[in-house]
Amino acid sequence: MEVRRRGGLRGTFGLISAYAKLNLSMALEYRVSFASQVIGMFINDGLWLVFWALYFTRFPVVKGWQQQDIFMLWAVLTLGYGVMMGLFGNASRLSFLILQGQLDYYLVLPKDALIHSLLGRMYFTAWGDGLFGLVVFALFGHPTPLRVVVYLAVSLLGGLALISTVIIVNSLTFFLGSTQVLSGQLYNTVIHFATYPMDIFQGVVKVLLYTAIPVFFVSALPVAVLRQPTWPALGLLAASSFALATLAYAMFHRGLRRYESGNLVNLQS
Amino acid sequence: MLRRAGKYTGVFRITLMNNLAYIQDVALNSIFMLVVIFVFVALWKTTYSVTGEQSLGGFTLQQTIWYLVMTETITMSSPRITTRIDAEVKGGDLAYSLNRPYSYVGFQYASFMGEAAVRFFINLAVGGLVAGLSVGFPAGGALEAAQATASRVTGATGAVGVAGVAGTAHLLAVVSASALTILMAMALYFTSMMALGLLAFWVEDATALFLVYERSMWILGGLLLPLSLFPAAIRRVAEVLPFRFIINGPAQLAVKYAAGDFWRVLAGQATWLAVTVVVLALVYRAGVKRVNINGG
Repeated sequence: MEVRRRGGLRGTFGLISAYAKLNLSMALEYRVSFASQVIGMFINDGLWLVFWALYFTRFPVVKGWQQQDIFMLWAVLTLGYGVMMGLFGNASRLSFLILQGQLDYYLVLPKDALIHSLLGRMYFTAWGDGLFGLVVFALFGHPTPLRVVVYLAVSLLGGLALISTVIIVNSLTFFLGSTQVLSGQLYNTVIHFATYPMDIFQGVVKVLLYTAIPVFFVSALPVAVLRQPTWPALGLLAASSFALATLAYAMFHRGLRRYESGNLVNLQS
Repeated sequence: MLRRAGKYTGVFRITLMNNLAYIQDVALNSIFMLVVIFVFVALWKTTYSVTGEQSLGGFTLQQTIWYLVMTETITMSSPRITTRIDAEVKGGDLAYSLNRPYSYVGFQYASFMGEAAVRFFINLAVGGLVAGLSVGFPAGGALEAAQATASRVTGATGAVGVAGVAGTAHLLAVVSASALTILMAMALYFTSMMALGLLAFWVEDATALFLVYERSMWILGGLLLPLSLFPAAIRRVAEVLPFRFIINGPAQLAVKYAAGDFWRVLAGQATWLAVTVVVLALVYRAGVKRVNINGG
């Protein structure tokens, strides 16, 4: 089954903005819970930096990486992840939605099924990640107007690469059947690899991190661009992120042809 | 007494069988264990190679990796009960168990252990395989250490028979000490997490508290880094907290066994377990008084 609709770029941004407002207002109905989740995730990320601070206190330079570099890696990764998963919270649940036939909700609505289904849920804790990234950059990133612009650009492009990868691993369910656990594990794998310096990996694994598990474009390249911004490097990052997004979009819609309805056609209240 | 224990053994057995019935899912979940240990191997191989040291914080590369296999196995195998208890308290499911002929806490503990047992062996097998293939298996090291000791004692260079016996005895001591301290660690983890989960009686959302407690336990308990590699000031803080008895203590015993350390860890675990059991009992009693049952 495939139903594809295009609403134009302006329409898509309008939809994202409307969903963001609705989801945020829903979150703010339960302010304590929302704040608790955001603060919890902020502290969670902070404790990872404590680990790296302890590590780099003992080993100040490892393969050219210093404490400052790993802090910037976390600043970039958490902001990209926070914004993307905050807005498109259903990305990591796509496999579940496909398996349960719950894409039906989005197929009957007049917008692109992928974008719409991703927007269906806001991942509240992700805002804690996003906030954490901004604070770490403000404290350790030596912010200047130029660096702030570069930081925001590379974080969002890295986040686009990440969410595209998440869509791809979740779309495997269209082709392989029940891959919910596998998709979840692949998702965790990508995130886990992305939080470590790529230079510690060698051989086949390094090749995989450039290709099948494209961690290089999620964290390593954005951090490299932030460290030394050049137009070609920024262009490469933008091109690879949009290429991954196109691949994710195409894979989802190709998979949608194989989708079987769960007979759940009704309107979401 | 035995009949009472039998109920909980039954719950343990049912949870165990339930998890074994979905063993493929449990095995698939351990893919993450494989990734974590693989990344640690890459990180620590690089670290040892860059520093050029044979031993860091008293650990060889092989000991560090196997230490991390043990710490990750303990934490990844412990079910996240805080969220389950939180949901049961808020959803009212806890009320159903109050008139049943078992203790709610005892039921949860038996169920926790049933789930943890399956996860533990699978995670240990997966993590151990990655570690073994990357840096070698530690049993060989234990045997060599025993052989060296035996050679010194007998003054002979080929004291293989004595070393074999000493190696086996050493291995048995390591396995039994590890098994006992890991069981104690799980109990300590359960009692503290259960008490935290029961805070749902008073707190609207304790997610932040759960995360802070768990992540503090990970960092200060030595999940990612042996305590001997911590800066002195932070190590002193970590040493007065219970977290090291959940993670660092049992893991270090498994890779660097010493009888003195074993008794110290066990004594620390017993003391903290007594404290957390009392806290859990107080929290549970106070919490249950707040339950409102309105029919249904």
